[in-house]
Amino acid sequence: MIPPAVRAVFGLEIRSLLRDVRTVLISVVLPVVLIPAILLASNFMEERQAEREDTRVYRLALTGPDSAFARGLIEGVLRTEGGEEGGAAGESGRFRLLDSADPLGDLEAGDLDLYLEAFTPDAWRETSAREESSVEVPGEFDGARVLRIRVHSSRGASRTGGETLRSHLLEVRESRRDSIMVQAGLPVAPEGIARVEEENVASDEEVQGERLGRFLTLILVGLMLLGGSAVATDTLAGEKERGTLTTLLTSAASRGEIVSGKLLAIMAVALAIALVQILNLWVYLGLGIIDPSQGFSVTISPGLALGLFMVYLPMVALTAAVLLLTSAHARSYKEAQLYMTPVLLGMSIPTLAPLLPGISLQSAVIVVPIANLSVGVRDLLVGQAHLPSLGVAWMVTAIVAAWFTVRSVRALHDEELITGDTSEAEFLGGPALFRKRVLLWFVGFWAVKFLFDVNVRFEDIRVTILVSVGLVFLLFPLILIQRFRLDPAQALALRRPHPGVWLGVAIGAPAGVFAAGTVMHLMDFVIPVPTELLENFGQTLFQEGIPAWQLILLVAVVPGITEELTFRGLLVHGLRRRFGPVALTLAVGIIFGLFHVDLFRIPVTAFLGVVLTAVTLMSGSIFPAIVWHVIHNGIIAWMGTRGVEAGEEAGWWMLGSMLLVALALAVIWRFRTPYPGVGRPGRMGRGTDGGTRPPT
Amino acid sequence: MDLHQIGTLYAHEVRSALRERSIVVFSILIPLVMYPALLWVAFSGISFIQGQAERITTRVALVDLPAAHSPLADSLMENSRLTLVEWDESTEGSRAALVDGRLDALVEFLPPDPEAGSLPDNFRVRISYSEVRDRSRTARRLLTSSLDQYREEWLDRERAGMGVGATEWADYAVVREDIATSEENTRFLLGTMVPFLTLIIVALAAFYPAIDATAGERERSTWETLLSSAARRGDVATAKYLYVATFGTVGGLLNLGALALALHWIIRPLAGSDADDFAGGALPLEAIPLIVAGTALLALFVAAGMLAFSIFARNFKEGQSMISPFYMLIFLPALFVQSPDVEFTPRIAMIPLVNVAVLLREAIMGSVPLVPGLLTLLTMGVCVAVAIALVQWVMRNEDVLLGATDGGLLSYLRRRIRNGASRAR
Amino acid sequence: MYSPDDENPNRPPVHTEALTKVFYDEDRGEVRAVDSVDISCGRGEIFGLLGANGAGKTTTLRMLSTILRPTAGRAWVMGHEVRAAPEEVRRNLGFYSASTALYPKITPRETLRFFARVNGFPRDRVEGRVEELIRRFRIEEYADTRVERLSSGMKQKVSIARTVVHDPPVLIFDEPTVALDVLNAIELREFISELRDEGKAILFSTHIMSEAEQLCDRIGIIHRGAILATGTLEELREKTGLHYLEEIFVRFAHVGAPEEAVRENIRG
Repeated sequence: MIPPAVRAVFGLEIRSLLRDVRTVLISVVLPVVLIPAILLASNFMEERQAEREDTRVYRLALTGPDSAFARGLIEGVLRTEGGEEGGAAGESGRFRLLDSADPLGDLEAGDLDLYLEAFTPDAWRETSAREESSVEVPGEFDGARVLRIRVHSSRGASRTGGETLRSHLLEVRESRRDSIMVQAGLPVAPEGIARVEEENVASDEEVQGERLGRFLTLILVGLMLLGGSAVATDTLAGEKERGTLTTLLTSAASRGEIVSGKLLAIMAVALAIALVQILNLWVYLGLGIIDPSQGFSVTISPGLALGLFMVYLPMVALTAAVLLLTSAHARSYKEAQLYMTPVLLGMSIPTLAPLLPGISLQSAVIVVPIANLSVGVRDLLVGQAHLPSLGVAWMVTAIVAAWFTVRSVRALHDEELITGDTSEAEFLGGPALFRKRVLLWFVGFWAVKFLFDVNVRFEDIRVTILVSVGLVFLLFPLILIQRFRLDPAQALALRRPHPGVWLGVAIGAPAGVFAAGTVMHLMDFVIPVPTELLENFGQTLFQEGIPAWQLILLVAVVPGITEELTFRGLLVHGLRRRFGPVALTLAVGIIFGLFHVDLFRIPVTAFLGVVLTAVTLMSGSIFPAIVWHVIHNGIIAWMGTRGVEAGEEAGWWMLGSMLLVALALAVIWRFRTPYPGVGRPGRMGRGTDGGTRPPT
Repeated sequence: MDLHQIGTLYAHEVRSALRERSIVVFSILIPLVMYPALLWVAFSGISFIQGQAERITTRVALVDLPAAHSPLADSLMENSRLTLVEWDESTEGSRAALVDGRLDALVEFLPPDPEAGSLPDNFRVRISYSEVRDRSRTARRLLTSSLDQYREEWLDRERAGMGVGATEWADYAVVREDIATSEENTRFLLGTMVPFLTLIIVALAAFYPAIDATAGERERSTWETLLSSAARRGDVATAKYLYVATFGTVGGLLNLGALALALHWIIRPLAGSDADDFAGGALPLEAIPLIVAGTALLALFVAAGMLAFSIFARNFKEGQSMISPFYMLIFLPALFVQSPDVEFTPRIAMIPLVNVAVLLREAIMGSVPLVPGLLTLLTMGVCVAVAIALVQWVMRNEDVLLGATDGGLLSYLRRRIRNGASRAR
Repeated sequence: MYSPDDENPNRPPVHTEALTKVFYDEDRGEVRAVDSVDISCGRGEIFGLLGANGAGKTTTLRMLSTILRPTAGRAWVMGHEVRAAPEEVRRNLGFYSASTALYPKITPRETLRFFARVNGFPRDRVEGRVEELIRRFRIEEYADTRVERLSSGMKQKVSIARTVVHDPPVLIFDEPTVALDVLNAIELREFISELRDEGKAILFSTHIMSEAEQLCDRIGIIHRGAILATGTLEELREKTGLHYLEEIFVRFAHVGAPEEAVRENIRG
């Protein structure tokens, strides 16, 4: 059934791996020992921590005008805590009462862990007014005593002591209240009033299954990725480095057979390593060497195990296919390693899907590979799998796995990837190198901008904006232009557009504001915005009483110019060769969105970014995008000062604005001047005679 | 030792490293970008989940609600996340509905316990739900808090009816006040995170340069070019060592800086609107020299250790797997210093790696006790010296230098010891 | 393994028609690495491609072995067109070059077994063939030692055995002697002659004049992607009136380059 060539490649891979003792040690044996060791160590640390908490004696002082009252309460606390009465005077249980003349000083110096101040109502009023204390006492305690616990929270003992004391004081209060009520003649004990019983209809096993189901896929995929990457990095990328790929490719085996054989090998190894690890943990759990913190008693029947295996099969295939593709795109072992890190992170994210509250397989998640099966597995473990949905999810992930496999096959047809010569750009420097480095620079820029925005704040919000938007976004392009010796007119697309384009801008920019609102509306279905965030969203600026012209300048003109220079100027210029027009538009749009750090602004800004990139690519010039951006932000600022918000209108407004934007783009298309040099103008590759390049 | 020569070699190493993509990524970009990126992902994720959770609405059925308590139903209906549904199915039907999700919680009103029956209109409630469904869990949570509040109000009415004064009932308020300044809190947070992370990042940042300086050189066949130059071998080794240590230090410090700057973001959600107070000043100025010294010491040790392992590698892959065990070895002490309660005693100061981690923590928190501090410097100094001596001893062997030995450091040591023993015999 | 097409005596086992490969280079635009190459190689013949580094030898041979796809033109190996039936082409072909390395973790015996299977050699005859080659190349001693532990001379023998393990009618040697010492190179040349005597069609590229003189039945001089002349050594001598191949080569490369080819390249 399996072609002999596939079997031969599979056998070769497995044999090569098994003979590579060091790799086997590192990727199989070491984790088998290390993971339990880490678990044991952290268990041990936790236990010691808990032990320390148990035996810890907090040093406490009592003070304040009503300290006699507090002492009465505290004695109760000491008794409940100690478990037994008596003991040395002033010391019992976990609190030791100390006398202190200056408790605040002692607390600061660390001679006390905490102290309790008791105030009569009048004394509290006076004290809190004098100290301008920010502590607020709820209204229902008007005219009641106030007990203030003072702690120094950067010391562990002080923090936990404070919490313990507080919860005990609240407990005491509860029982005092109960006894007041009973004394006043309440016929029943207060806890008997409207008593609530809870009944969980799910069995313990199902509950455990649900808990396991939340993390099982994450753990499995993580293990498979770690195990599989050991083979994957070595297979295609490593073969290019060792030169065996050419040997293999000149054999009669087809690309498809080679890829299948390798894929099966990665799958087998990934699965084997994951199983070994799970068995390993199982044994440790069974022997009681590791004590799981929150009960772990899932029994998995053989039938369920088989079901899980079947469900996980496309996931294994997908994991292996992604790893193989990554390897196919790397020129050497080292490069493959470099790519693996982001791949590992990216693949793990969808496995977190079962953690989303209320997620069910009968929703959009069914079309997200990996995420869908993660949810399906959780359902399966709970015993509530919806089989048709599970089948669809299975198919989706399987299809995506097949797609990745086909991509790997195609990568073996890519001549540049096979012959794998590094580019001359590295030592030529200048514009050619810029194309290779532009993304790396933008990643660094993103981090710097993030840290800058978070930390640099001027008294005047206007200066902050001017620096963070104006200066930073202006400096960055200038640095890049200088560093890579770029021609500014080319790099920033400083060209005159066709006059007809302005008509499109005039239509599109105002409509775009409402279209963006529409996008926000639509996105709310996918990324729900927490209400708390919505309320204080973007309100600060408009409340500062800044003159209108300054507002327009700060919010519209400055960012319009600088952000366009950075994104539609440099970024488009740098990436233009790497993508086709559509992919380029989307990529620049998304990167633009990511720079507007807030998750909820990303879809909207990315939408704007996509439109502006399209405008730039079609007009061949940066200027229409700048004008569009300025008008867009200007309208939003103007609406902001009047308290109007886009996106609140529904129905026809939404559709209409979208259509108008489309019309505007059509107009610009009509008068287009294409941006020069977009896309790969043909297959790249190099003929090599002993590593030299073809002559000119 | 020729300082000028070492300087030239060192500059050469650093320059080529800065042009190597994987080194730039792992030693500079990751330390710099990691915190902003991780924090961003974490907060976006949290608010995403929060948004999802807020959107959950639940279906709840009330069974046999006493007429006297209809206000309870009204208050439940006011909660937009609870939908009251008509329900008249049997017990089994209800259970099935709870399991398959047609219903999220069933609230049955029952007669009160016999000893609580003397209060007019008193009742008992049973909430049935399914622990394995988010909606059901949410419904239960919303219902219990509503019922708790209902009972509080009821109790309050009873109290008023019996003539117990509001003040007497309130009894006393308990408030908690923290005398630590925001700066101290920031340092505390930094102090709990930094030791662990610094260990890891210094090791990560030195990892690729260490392979590059040895196995990479062999792979590119530049090793012999270098050795056949006029430079003395000791100088070559020193320059390489300093280069690896530099990258470890720079990576560690970049990471620390990025963390200190990004901390603002960690605290914002904890401190609410006061977060602006946290901007800047997270690291005490006087601690910075100590932090730099600690990080450098760590890097010097890690660099020597990694070189000792990677010197045996003939290619990148081998180098990587040879260093990996050492890399994981660094993780283990890191696990033990995560607890903020480990005190900086002289005993701790004698454990390499752990001592630097604790030293860093103390430096960030404000003050380093003298004796353990000095002991740390001494212990680490000795470790660094031993590691350097090991590297030099290994590099003196020509087989190793030319990459002609099989196996790594450990098998080399074993061989040498066995040979030594047989010769002694 | 032979298709009916091969019975046609006019169709040699390897022949090309205007085979062309154009690379796109970011900085220089189009580069014609191979330009309208017509060559052929008959049964029992060694055809030598002679050219300087970067002349297009490797690119031509890589197209024949289907690693690279021709931009234009066609090429047949045993009647199979390289673009239409790449797998059939490779089944009939053994490719050897300095860049076709061996898997380090497996032994020579396993290597041969693996490539025999991958190349679709009849299953029941694999073992016999492997043993035969091990004897023929005298690699018995180290047949079960991992390749990574072998010396370069041993590796070379295994590599050649690997090339012929599936007994292909066509063999391509791309600068095979480039990294070999004198004795190994002589041995290799002897073996290639033996293969010719067995009736294989052999393509052979080199930049070493003496090697081409010694070994090749016919020689094609390739320069800047274009074939400038083909023929037996005698024919080339007659055409130019020069005796030594080195002189002949220099004459063609510097003086005799056809105008067209030069123009094509300047455009790139």
